[in-house]
Amino acid sequence: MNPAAASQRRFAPGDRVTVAHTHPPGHRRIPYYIRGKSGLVERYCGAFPNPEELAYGFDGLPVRHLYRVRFQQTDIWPAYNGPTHDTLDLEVYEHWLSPVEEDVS
Amino acid sequence: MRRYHDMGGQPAGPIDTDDHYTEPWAKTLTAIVGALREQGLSRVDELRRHIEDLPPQDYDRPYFERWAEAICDLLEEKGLTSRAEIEARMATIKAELEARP
Repeated sequence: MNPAAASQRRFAPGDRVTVAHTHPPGHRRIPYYIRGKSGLVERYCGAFPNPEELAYGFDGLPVRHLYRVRFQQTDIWPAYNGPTHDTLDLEVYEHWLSPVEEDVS
Repeated sequence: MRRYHDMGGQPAGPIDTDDHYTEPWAKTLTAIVGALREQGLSRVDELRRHIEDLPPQDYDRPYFERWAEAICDLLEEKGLTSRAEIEARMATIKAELEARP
């Protein structure tokens, strides 16, 4: 098995996902404001070396799956006063995402 | 805890969208960064890490000054040169320029 190859993808467009609500040390590219927020996978972007590892001079392998996730602005900012249909797209690596069960109320 | 550079959504003033003059040293710095990448000596993520690790008083400096600080840290970390060596060379160049008639 090629150690650089990506694992199987966990998510597909339309899946509801939550960004990990965690603040580990190290070089993390996930903005503070989006941690713990949920959105919908808009598209799969491909698999790329992990920038969290590249930042320390490692090869970033195995590659990680990257998704574009669409969030509702009103979910991100409690005091958001723009149109309620406003959204924000953010590209997030798979290891920061976990699935959200649609039927949980 | 939110880190200093991670300022998305924080209150901020208006953005100056006017074109501005780029100092020649900033272009030289850009060329150095390009050369380091070309030689496989550094990656964009490494430079970003050093920029984001700058203390607030340095992070608040203009864009290319931030780069200059981060590149010094990066070169030192990699053992390619040291901040002391860079500063000594800067002092030499400055003295030479000042000695010109």
